Amino acid sequence: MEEEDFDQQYADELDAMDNFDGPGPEPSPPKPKRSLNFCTPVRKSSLLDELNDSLMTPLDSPLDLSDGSVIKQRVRNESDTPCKTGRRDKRIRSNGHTEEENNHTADMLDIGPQSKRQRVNGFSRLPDMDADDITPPSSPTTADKIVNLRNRTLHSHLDDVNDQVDDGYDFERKRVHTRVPQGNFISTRGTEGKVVYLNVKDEMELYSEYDTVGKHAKSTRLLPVSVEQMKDELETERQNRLLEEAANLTQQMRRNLDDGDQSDDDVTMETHEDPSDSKKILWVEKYAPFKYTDLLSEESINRTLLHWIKLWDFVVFGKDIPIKAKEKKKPVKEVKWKKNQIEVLDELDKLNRPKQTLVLLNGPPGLGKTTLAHTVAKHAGYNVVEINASDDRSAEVFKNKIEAATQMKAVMGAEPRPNCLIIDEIDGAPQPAINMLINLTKKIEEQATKKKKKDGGVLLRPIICICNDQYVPALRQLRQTALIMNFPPTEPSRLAARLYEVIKQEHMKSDMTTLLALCEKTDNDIRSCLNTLQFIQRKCKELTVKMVQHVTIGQKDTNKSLFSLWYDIFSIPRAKKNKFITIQDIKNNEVQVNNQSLPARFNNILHSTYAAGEYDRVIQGLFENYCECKYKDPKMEGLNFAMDWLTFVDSVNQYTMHIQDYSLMGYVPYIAVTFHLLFAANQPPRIQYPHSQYDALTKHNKFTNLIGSLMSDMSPSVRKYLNTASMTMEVLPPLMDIIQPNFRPVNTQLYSTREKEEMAQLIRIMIAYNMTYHQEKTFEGQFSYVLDPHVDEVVRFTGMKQHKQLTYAAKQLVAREIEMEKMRRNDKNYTSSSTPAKNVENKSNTDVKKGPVIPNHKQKLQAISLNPHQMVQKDFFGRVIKQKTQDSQSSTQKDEKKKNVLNTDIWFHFKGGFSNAVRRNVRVQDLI
Amino acid sequence: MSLWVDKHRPTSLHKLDFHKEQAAHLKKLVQGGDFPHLLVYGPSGAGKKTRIMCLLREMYGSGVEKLRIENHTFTTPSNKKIEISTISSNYHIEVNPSDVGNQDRVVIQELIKTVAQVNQLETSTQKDFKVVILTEVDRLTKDAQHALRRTMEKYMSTCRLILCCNSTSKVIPAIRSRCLGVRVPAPSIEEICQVLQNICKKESLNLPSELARRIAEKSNRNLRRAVLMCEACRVQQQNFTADQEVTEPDWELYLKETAQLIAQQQSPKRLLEVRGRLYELLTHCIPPDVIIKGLLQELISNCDGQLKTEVVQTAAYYEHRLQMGQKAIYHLEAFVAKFMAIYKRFLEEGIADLF
Repeated sequence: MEEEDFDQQYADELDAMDNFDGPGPEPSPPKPKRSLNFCTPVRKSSLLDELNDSLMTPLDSPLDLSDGSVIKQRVRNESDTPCKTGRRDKRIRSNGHTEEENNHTADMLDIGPQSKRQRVNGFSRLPDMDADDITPPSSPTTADKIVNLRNRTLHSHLDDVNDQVDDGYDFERKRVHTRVPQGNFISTRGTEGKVVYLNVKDEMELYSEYDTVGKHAKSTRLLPVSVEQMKDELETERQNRLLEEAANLTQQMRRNLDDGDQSDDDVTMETHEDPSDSKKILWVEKYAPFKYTDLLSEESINRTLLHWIKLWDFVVFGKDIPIKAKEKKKPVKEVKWKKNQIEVLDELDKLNRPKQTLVLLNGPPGLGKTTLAHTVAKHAGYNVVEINASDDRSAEVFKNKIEAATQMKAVMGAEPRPNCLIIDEIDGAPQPAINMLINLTKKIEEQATKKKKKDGGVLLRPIICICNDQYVPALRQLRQTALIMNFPPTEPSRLAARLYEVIKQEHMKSDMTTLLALCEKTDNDIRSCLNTLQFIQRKCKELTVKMVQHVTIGQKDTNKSLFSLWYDIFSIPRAKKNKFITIQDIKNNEVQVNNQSLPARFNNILHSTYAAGEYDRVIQGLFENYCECKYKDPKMEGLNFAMDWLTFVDSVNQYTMHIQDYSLMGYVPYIAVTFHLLFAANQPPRIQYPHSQYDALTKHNKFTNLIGSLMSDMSPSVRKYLNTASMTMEVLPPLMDIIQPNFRPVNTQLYSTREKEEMAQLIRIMIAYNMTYHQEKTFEGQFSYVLDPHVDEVVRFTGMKQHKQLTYAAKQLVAREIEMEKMRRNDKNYTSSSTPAKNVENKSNTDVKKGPVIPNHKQKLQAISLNPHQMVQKDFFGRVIKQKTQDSQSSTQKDEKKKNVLNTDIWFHFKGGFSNAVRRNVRVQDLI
Repeated sequence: MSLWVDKHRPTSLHKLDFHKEQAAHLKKLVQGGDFPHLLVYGPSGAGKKTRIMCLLREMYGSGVEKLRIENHTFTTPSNKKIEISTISSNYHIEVNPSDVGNQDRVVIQELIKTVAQVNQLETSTQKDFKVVILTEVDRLTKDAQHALRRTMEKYMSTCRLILCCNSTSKVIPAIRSRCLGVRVPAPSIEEICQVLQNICKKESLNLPSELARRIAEKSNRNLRRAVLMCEACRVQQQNFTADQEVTEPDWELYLKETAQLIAQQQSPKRLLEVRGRLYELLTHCIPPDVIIKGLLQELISNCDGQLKTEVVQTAAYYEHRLQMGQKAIYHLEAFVAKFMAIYKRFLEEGIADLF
């Protein structure tokens, strides 16, 4: 039962593992490999082995060495000499041609996949078909080989033809020599008693000769090239193609493929073989995990990602995934899985894709996110297409790339695999590009019903996004749709174990404790660890605890969040047990770099403050939080010291900002150290984000703006005596009292003259100081009159005694009066400005006189109202008695005017529209 | 005008209520037909502006009272547009260059040039120079002040400058030496009482002398404040009574309360509380130096003779640093913390002495 469960849970994984267990450490699925037909070469090579062996034995005999030609032949047999020289020889030699052919086959076989044979023969430079052994530098040589091979096969064909033509001659050649012949021979006596020499041929050679002779005899000669050779040729061509493909693959995936398998025993051998190569490669690349089982990241994460990518199998490969079985077991599974397990929704949407079409891998750098994505995608049988920050990621380009990656498929290559898109460092991508990505997934979902599967717009390939900070604003949308996987830090023990393997292979001396110390120092950053190791390896071959702890390497210039910085500053670091003390250290009485020691604390805080950068914000945070800290300071001396530092830093800042001289800036972070040493406590501090400064600033700005707007429209005669400071401090507070006199809550008509005078006074003041009331609706829906501009706020402090306010009615009244007074004044300005200053004698008269005299067409129209009774009606509009006299004055004026008008030659009679209303001038003052 | 402050402001030199001798000097100066650049300085509410306006009126007649507000736009060398509003008549222009902050140099250079390069048309009937009034000169940046000093000499023939400030300590010596300094000291309490009485007489009100004195004392010898407070009292109550309450500005009361809080308890917690109040004062546009001064005045009353010097010294120290720095709140809090430490030590010593 247990096992069954396990099988089902980890079906994906097991499945994936199965694929890779067979052919050993090979990344590509076994299929393409199987498709290679190596039958012929294998058979031939075995034969060749025999041949070679048999051929070689006689040559090794010391007797042969006496003859120079023997050496020649030996050279030809043993080494990979170009065929042409051999061929020339062959013409002379009758028996050479079989050897020649053998040589030729051997040449072809050299590129065959038999790695073992190659090693035996010393042809180690030829790349193996197994991709993991291919190193990039070897690829050009492969290409050369291929070219050579082609040429050779071509030539050999021609030669073969010649050979065949020559065959007849060969049969009648001299077999009995009277002189010592070339090659092996036996001497004997002939019937005539002469010594004759006979060539000796090896038995096997003879057999093979017989074989070929038979073949040649059988050949129909219809083709210039024999079928056998054509087959061979095809085979080589195919091999060439595969080789090229392999080379391409290597280049594409070099990072992961190069010597990735460090757990393999072969690797040690290889590093022995070419140390020059290993020095050129970064260890990070060299030892990148290559198999799924090699991954250092947490098991659950790996599994989840693999599971997710396996959900695509149906869409991509058409494979049926054992989802249904899983769904049945779902409750069991959930219990069994870890609590913090990220849930992959097993459901598929209408297109049989997983519900979450995207995966977002999130975590700090150096945990192996990219490696995981690559490895998993490859293991699931995908071709990885990566887009990262180094590419152009504007929305347009991004879209093209995504489409190319998700909807197209490599046609070339032996076994084209579907693409899996990995978008690395997506948190740096511009917002439109990310929106585009989201739209792509969403749009397809909507239109899925309408569109067919084969439609171009459907996303049918998995996309894996990788980021360091998932809370970048641009990713907000993406987070809702994607499956988010947070990377936990790597386990130091696992990492150290892996590092140990690396060290072993690189012949460095070290031990686990040192490596653990290194892991700790780099915050379990795999990349950083490896880089540090490589750095050290170049210098010396040994890594000690001391080096790790004292050397300033491997320490990342990390950017802590402000909160964690403040936290660090206000808390005494927990005593960490120093796990890495060696006996020697204790003997030598060397100072342990304990994180609790004063210098260490000093340095830590200083460094993190430097790294944090935003000194202003940091200091603000210190300022706002230090008062809440618990510390013993009965005499408040520490407090004063801290305050001195604050003021000092402030003046430094002022200096740097003013002079633009940043040399003093370096002293600013020391304030953090001061605060740490003064106020750090063992209890965890409660840190609050500093916003009071900002609040105060906005409020201050608001108030200054209020005062500003108040002063901008004041009458100049008042304003010239005031400035902002005196306004806020001296004028406004009493003014607020002055503009709130006691009004009786009765109709203004009933006010006494004194009250009316008061009212008029108030209105004048408020207009002079540019204040008025205006109606506002409160949150409760009630209306109230507030001062405009609302300088009231500037003067009033919270918690002080309430000042008396005018009633709603009174404010309304004042507001209305202010409006009317303003209109009156405007009107007065208008009339006074419209009258040209002809008569300077007395103003009152000119005002009255000039008003009606203005010669415009209206005036003329008015002149038509002949009826003198209408003049009397004017009284209705005027409220003040004075106006009557004015009116009467003006009426007399107008009478004169009328006569003038009538005297002129041309005049118009205005006939009003529907009513008989007569147009005439009405002044604002008449209305109010 | 409407407020008593404006309504009863003297408009000619001979009507001035106090510093009459100085007024006479000024009158003589003007009667000569010309005057040098002036640097008028003195505390707020002492009558600097009033004096200047009287002077101008004496010189140009009532024409200087026809005022208008104009908005000028200048372009800085860095192509930034700055706007500033000026108050001007036909004979003078008044500007507060510190309104534009750091760019005040541009205003000084451009504005004075434009004004000074235009000669008066009718020199026969009018003075052949205009007057430029610069207010709050002590808030000018050093750059602007340096820009000013050459301009002052160059355009001497066509314009006179009247600089107006509270304190000459921030005016560079080069400018001080180019001007005739006119110090307008704050009126004494008696003088203020006299002024208040005069005003009330004009308003046909009867002001009890006790009330007048109280108002004068509360006004910190600031005549503007005194008159405004007097009017506020009048609004409160139709007829003055001797024991009438005189309302002080909220911010002063608030500051006093803050000082009391400091004196009551000395602890970081209280410091935090005080900080909140200091922020409140700062946001209400109360200048930090006023705050530190107000605090000192209140706190010093709690101190012994020996302590007083120490406290005043620290206050001076922090006020100086305040001027050097940017963020007033640090310096204010530093002063408060320092005072707390001193005061706490003093109290503890006092208790120790008892036993």
